[in-house]
Parts: sequence; structure tokens; C-alpha cells
Amino acid sequence: MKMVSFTAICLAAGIALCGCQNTVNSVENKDKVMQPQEVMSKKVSTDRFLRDRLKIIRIDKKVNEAGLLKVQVTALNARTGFFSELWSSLTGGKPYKVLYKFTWLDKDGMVIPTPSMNWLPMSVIPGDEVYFQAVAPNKNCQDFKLSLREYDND
Amino acid sequence: MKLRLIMMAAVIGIAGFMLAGCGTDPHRIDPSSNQGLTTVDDINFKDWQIAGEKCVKTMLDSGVLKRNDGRKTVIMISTVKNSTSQHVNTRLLTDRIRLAVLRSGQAITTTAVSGKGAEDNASRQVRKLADDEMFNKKTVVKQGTAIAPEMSLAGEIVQQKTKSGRTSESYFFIHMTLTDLKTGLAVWEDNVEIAKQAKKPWLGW
Repeated sequence: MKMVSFTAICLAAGIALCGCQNTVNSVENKDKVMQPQEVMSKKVSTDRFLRDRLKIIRIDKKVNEAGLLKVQVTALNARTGFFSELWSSLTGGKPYKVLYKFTWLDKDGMVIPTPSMNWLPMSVIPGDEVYFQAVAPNKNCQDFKLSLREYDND
Repeated sequence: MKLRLIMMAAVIGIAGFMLAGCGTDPHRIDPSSNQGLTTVDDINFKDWQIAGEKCVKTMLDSGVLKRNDGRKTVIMISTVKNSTSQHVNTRLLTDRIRLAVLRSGQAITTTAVSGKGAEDNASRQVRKLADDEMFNKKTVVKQGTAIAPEMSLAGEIVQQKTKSGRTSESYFFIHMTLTDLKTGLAVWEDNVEIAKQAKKPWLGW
């Protein structure tokens, strides 16, 4: 009897906690006009938690009017659903905060130092898509790397 | 009575030692990381980095710096008005933008003129050497050779403070413009918003 009560209380608490989390509902046009230039990507994941929570959906690129490479990495906060929401309520990941940094490379693979090689914060609400955008600092930049990590103060 | 005084002194002494032990030694932090203090009333260095990154990204993406004749656009750094209650050195933002602009290879900045007079007086001073007998006249920079700026970078930082109970909030609004000095038209504009909030504990400061 005690066990049943305990389970019921835990379940009720879980539902209550889930109710505290806001997720995103979205709507968009079905027939797309855009013709993005998708980039084949190579991912290296050392943080499995981050990989499972923030899923990289696609990478697009274009050369802007000034002749500079512009890239956009689309990611989705996949922490939706009962258990994910329960877990993120318990761990305080709402909204989920990450830090990101773009590194630019020339045609020889050398890192091009930019004045903005800093970790920058980004918040992602569960169920929402985020776009990490960057413009190459100059025309020598041919390739890029996006680094992502969970938000902390270290 | 004497014993009580000694006991009190000992307790205060121990408490003092314990409190002293709570501090941390001075240490270096990595400016590119997420370390650093976050305060409500100030614009911290991470805020400047975020603001600079956004401004640089939109300016380079706008294509306004590109010229059809292949020449680089000359930009002067005008004034960034500080309309906050804090002392703010706006160079923390403008220097980041000018460095990015220079490295883009599309524009160049002048130090001979700025919103508060010349940023580097040397350009004017060396021309005065023509009257100095010490110098070879042929090596002195001639008048009429300095290149005038074509665009001007300016802006304003506004702060709004709000307080409700123990919660205080600061909202900083940074507005930057790039003006074509020939026409007076703003060819690029961008805003950066920084909002911060903190709640005081029931006890303490």
C-alpha cells in the first residue's frame, strides 16, 4: 500500500514538474521557396549529453554580396516528451543554455585569427530550432568549424 | 569576567580566520571563455564581446563596405554617446569593430580624425616639421596628402533600470550606425540588447 502511494506521489510530482516546462510549438509554410546550399558535415562528439539534447539538423552556406562566406548551422533542442521534460525540470535545463564558437580556416587549413573567437552564449527552448550564424572575417576563409558546449562558468 | 573576554576574543579570532579563508587568490581567467563576473549595473566584458560579434557579423554581411572601384572604404570612428549611469569606455566596442573591419580587407580606419579630434595627433604634428630647420624638407610629409574619411561609425548606449522588491534589472540598448559622409545617410545600423537581472538574498548584500 505504501509502495503504491509512494509511486503515485512520484508520478504526480513528475507530472507537476513537467507542467513547469515550456516547450515550443511552431508552424511554417510547407512548400518552401528557399534553395539552400547544404554543406556535408563531419561531427565529432565528446559530450554525449549535449549531442542528444541539441541535435544538429543541417548546415547551409552562401557567399554574400561582399564575397564573404556565410554559414548557418541549424540545431534542434530535442528535450521534449515526458521523460526528457521531467529530467530537464530536475536538472534545471530550461531553457537549455549552450556556448558556441566559430573557427575559420584558410585553404591550407590554417586558423585565421579573428577578433571574435570567443565562446558566446545561446539559449534554446525545448522543441525550438536555433540558428548559429557566422560571416567569415575575410575572403581567405574557406572552411569553418563550430564548437558547442554546455553553458557553464568555466 | 576575564575568562569570558578571552573566550569572546578567541571566538571572534576564529571566525575572522574562517572568513578570511573563504576568499580566493587572484588568478587569471581566459577572456574568450565564459568566466568573468556578471553584474547587473555594468556592461561586463562578455557583453562587449557579444555586442561586438553581432555588430561585426551584420556589418560584414550587409556588403556596405564593398566598393566597385576596388579601393578600400575609409572609416572614421566618431562618438558613441554614453547615456547610462555608469562610466563606460566605448572603445571596448568600437575597437573590436574597427579591427574586424580592417581584417576584412574591405575598409580601413583613419586615426587622423575622430569624433573627439584626432585619435593620433602625429599626422598633424609631422606636417609642422616643415618649419623646423632640423629636418630635411624633402622628407617631411606634405600638406594635402591625408585621405579624408568616407564613412563614420557612431552610436549610443542607453540604460534602463528597473527594481521590484528584491529583484533588480538593467536593460542596455546599444545602437550603432555607419554613415556615408557624402550623403549623410546611414548605410548600416544595428541594435544590441543586453538584459540582466539579479535577486538579493534575504540576508546579506
